[in-house]
Amino acid sequence: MGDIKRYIVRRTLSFLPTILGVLVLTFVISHIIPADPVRVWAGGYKARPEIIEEIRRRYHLDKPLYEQLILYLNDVFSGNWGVSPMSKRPVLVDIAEYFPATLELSIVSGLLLTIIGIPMGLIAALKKDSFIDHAIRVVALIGTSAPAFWLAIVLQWIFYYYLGLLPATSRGTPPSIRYTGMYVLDSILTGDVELFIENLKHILLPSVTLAFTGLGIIARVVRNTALDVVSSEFIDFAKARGLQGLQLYRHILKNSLIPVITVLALEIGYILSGAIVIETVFSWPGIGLYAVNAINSLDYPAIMGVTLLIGLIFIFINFITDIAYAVIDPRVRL
Amino acid sequence: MKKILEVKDLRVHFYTYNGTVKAVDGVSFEVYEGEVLCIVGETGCGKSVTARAITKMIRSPGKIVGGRVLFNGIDILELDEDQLSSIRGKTITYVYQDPSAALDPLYTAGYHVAETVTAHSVGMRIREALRRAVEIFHEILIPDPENRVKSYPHELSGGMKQRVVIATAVANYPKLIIADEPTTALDVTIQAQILDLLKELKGRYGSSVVMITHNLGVVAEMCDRVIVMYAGKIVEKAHTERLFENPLHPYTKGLLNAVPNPYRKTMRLESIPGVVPDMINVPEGCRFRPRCPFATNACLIEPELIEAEKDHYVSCWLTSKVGQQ
Ligand SMILES: Nc1ncnc2c1ncn2[C@@H]1O[C@H](COP(=O)(O)OP(=O)(O)OP(=O)(O)O)[C@@H](O)[C@H]1O
Ligand SMILES: [Mg+2]
Repeated sequence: MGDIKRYIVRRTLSFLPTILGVLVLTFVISHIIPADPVRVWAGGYKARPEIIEEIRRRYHLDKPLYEQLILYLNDVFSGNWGVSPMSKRPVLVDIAEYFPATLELSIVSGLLLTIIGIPMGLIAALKKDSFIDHAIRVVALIGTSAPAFWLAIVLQWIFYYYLGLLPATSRGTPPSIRYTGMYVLDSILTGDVELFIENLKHILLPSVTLAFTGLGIIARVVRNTALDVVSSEFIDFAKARGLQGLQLYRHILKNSLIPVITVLALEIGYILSGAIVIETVFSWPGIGLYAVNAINSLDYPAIMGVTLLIGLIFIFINFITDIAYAVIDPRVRL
Repeated sequence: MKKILEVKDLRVHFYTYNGTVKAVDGVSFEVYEGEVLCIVGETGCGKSVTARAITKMIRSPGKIVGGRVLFNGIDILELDEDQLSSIRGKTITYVYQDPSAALDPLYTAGYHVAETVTAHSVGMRIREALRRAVEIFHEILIPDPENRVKSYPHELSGGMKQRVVIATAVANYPKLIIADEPTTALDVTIQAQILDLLKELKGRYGSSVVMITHNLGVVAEMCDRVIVMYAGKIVEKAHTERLFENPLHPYTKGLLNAVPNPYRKTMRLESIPGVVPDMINVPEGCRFRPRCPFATNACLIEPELIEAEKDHYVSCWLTSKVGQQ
């Protein structure tokens, strides 16, 4: 286990330059937007020049770029992610309000993806070349090729308009006490069963839509990995040593995990970016909706904040994935 | 000597898209207590399939279509998966050809041995079994056994990995060790060490060994008796010395002419012309006929395996005629 700790430290250090890179990129990208945000904030074409000047000064936009960058880095690390000119609130406060909605949506679709996709893959592997295997292949194909927004609309039409079973938009009702900002989780924590069911109904359609796009890929990867591992020489040798049942499955499962973790990590990325589209279709007040509004109003600090947040999340996912690899596979720990 | 294993008329077919591969086609032999029996033959002649069929380790599209494998009076081929698992790795164990592929990269060397022990000892904990692994590593001369059990396969050399594989094979005091080309994947210098180790262990554990090889040097070095296989059949069976001194089948002669013979001086090494037939369309009659320099019309009928001299069997019309006259 000693080498695992050393590996984690090394990996953490190697992520620092990446984080810095994300920061610089966020900064640069937001400054090459071909529009004058100050004028927009000040009220458009009719804005008075003094006000424009005033805003320019207040946001240090009159300073040279490198000075702005240093100010920016300094602020980010001291927890000041700027104030959104649109909401007139600190960006971090906005993020704290909107992000739990996205997190909740991503977690539920991630769970759906895992608990449906992995067994689907295993069944396809067990029943290789059977009807079920082909059916799963078709589901996979539809999932990957259908655009998320189209799927969203179809599902809304079936379950809301036609069957009237599920709500089509919004998050439901916030529980009386806010623990995490995730409605479903918070309603469990407050012990409110009715609210839990209501909020679960709300999250079902958007999370199913999100999960569906990745389901096929997971199932296919699990299937092919399991088939590879089961036909590998070391599983054969394990059988030749008289291993069976759990002792044998342990080898199969552990060896199948690595590719599965890789796709799961990729899928989480897809889910996050997919969330932006899905949140718009389902009026889900998450970070995606927030970002879309920020972009429409050239809300610099908000755009930078969201970009930075998503960048950091991706780095974090990569980090966790790397550590998971190292825990599973001793060859990675070098 | 006591027979511990008797293979009778074993037949294994592979049902492929191109047709039925008769990989093993009526093979019979026996293994005596404490002996080393070698199976030799060119690539593809069915050695591995024979070895695997002994504990029913044949996977689809392969199928054991006939024969019996008698071990202590019971037919292994009649057993269910549970009973087979209790024999595999305990009374009959395997050493595979490529140790890098045979070991699970995600588990330590010691774990492989330990789980093989726990699989066959009810109630034994893996921790306890790991201590047994250290003992075995010590016995098979793996240096620094306490630390080596904690090594992962990728941290070990090829020779060391094969020692670990051998450790799993001897961990439960087997009656029979089946070694399928145990040195082919290793450096020449390591090969001799591994062979010595196997010889040593067989003496210490009192196991019999079935050794598969296409290296006649290994045969001369290790084996008490030899079976020569060609295209899914046994063509000759004899004590090692007899086979080297007096090979009867033209195929065996060809094999011996292709390598320096430790029992006879040969001037020139020659290869056998032609290749092993594809096993879907095997030649009618004697399967070696198309490559045989002595082939006659008689060879269109398949010869039986007959005892040409004491304990020396051959399936060839040349010898049969001599025997009949
Ligand atoms: N899974 C399979 N599918 C189809 N045919 C197979 C399969 N496994 C083995 N065979 C066939 O069975 C025959 C015997 O194979 P086997 O592996 O026993 O040869 P071998 O004597 O061990 O050769 P080598 O020296 O190369 O190990 C070969 O002709 C091979 O094509
Ligand atoms: Mg072989």
